[in-house]
Amino acid sequence: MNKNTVLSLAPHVLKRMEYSLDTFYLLNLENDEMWTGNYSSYLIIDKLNGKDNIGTVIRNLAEKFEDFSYEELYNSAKTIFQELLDKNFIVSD
Amino acid sequence: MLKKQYIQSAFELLIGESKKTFLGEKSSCMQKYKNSLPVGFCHDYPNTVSLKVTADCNLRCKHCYYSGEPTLYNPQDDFSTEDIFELIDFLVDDFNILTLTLTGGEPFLREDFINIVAHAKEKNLPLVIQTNGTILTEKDIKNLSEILYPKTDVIHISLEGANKNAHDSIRGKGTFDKAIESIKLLKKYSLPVQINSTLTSVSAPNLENLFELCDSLNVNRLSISKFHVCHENHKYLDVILEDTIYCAHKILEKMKKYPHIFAKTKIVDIYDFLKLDEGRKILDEYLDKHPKKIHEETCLSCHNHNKLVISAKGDVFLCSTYESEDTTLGNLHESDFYEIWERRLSNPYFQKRNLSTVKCKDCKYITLCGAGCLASAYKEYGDINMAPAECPYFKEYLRRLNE
Repeated sequence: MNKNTVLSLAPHVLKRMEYSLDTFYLLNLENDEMWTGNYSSYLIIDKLNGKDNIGTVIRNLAEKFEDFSYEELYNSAKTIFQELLDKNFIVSD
Repeated sequence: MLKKQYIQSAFELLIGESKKTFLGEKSSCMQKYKNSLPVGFCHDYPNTVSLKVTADCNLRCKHCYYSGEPTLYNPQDDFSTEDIFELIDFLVDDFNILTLTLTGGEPFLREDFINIVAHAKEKNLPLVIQTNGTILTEKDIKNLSEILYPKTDVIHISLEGANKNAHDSIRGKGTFDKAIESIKLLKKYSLPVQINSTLTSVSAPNLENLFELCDSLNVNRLSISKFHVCHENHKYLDVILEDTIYCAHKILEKMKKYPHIFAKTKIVDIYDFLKLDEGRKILDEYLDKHPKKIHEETCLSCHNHNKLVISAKGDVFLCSTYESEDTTLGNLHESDFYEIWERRLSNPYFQKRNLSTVKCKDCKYITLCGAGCLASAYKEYGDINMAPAECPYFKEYLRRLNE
């Protein structure tokens, strides 16, 4: 995985954001696994559309969040992406 | 005179329901998600939506809530294909809903219905399709088999009991055979089917035979619910309490005989037992033995804001039982969806309710009914903090208060 990798949700994975709990759920209907994150992870994962590569996704986010640099966001997101790839919640195209 | 054994069986059916989940659901990610939510959690956005894709229907069933006003079957105001696609995209991408029910009218009357199903499945949305099963063609079913995901999707076919004459007397001549034929075709293509039925005066005499019918058709999901009279013409379909209890007893026997058929029943409620001396004794004995805990399975979908109903002409409701001008949150052709959704907080029927402040908070049975339906309470007393109209115990209490 690098900045040119294009990611998308795996087939049969649903996303659900519960704002008042600040909990983001990914539900894998294929293997019945559930992954939870927070609102920040929702903002990142929601942008994985199978078209834009990771670099573009993070750059777009960095423009909205002036408190964090592109590299800071990329390093945080990379850890999440790797975990979700390992657990089959997202796939690289 | 009702035998105690029958009332006991009916109560077993009521209490047993609280432990029920559909096949495999207990360990599913959906169930993990539901279990992770705090008790009484109120959703910011609904997680399940029922969308009536058309008001049109090929049948004129005697018990249909449209039957009082035939003009309601008019498909003139139905959503366009593009509107429905846009709506599904919004529900998935913005509201993050987890289940969509496509219903009608009769959804298969829409020529674009398979395309609608395909669009929802492109979004991986778990689907429930509700149909009367009379106009499905093998081509439709073959197409569905290529689109649907059997693990999460299901097709509901309505039958008015297991008896052909009973079914046809409500839905029209020949409709039972057509529905059965559709079920056989759906099973031929390995699609998951659920038979939905209601307890009415017509279906009651042979209702329990649905288990044999399901078994013979290789259908392992069955849902039986109580019929709610909502029109003067429907009154002949109402079932007296004694017959309801006896039916519950017979259904429980069949549930034990056919454990592989997953039957979800909602034909008795706590209020039925409060109307009977023996019923109250059974409730008291149960409460003596079990720790007090609010019965979580009580329908509070409007209270928890987890469900939304959208009519074919775009009216939005929080509850399918109370669809009327004063309960609608707005119309999608006139207002933005977010604006409509926010109106739930000002609609008198569906305010958030705190169980510690309801008028019946000290009733010993509240642990079993959870204070019941808000909309019913509002409709009867003009206050969601009262007990629902169905509660005889609260009516007794009010009478004593006025004496």
